[in-house]
Amino acid sequence: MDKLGSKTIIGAGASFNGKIINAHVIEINGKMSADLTADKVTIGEIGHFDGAIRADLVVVSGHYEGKMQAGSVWATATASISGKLHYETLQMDRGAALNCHVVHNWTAKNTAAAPSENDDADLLMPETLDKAKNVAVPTSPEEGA
Amino acid sequence: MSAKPYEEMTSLHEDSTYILGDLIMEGSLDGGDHPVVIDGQFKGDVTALILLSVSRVE
Repeated sequence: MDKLGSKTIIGAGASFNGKIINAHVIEINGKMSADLTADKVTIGEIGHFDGAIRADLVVVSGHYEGKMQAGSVWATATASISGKLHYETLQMDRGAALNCHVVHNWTAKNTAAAPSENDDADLLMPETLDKAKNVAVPTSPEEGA
Repeated sequence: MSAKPYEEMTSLHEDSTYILGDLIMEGSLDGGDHPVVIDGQFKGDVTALILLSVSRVE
């Protein structure tokens, strides 16, 4: 009954824009732009999610962009994650791509108690990278000594 | 005539869209070229070639 009774699937080729709350298990194989609250979220290999996710468990095999707040996150080999990732436990398979701001041991309580002044500090990264580009990199051990 | 295996009968086709359970869904849904089955609370627009709605879609 559980298999058919409480699982929501956004099929391949389907698209949804909006808001989902109180979902138990949701699998995304299509394109979704949403604010989602669920127990378990699976983004399939061809799935594409853009928006916020709050869930106990998120398995990402496709593309995710947005702010995710999850107890456990599993990024499989085909995962591509960008944006902000707040998690308690994280598993990453070889090949998974994380291009995002990652916060460990996130809890709603901590976030409310101590809002970070440098919440967008990751935005400084391009400048830092530019400075790094101007540093001469030695091409041989003698040159570097 | 042979009966279908249990797994085949109870599995959900991943190309189709199923909105099942006690969730609340608001927005616009386009099922693409595949059927959409709704047995939950959906408020908004649904576009689908085949729409099977067990519950009320507002």
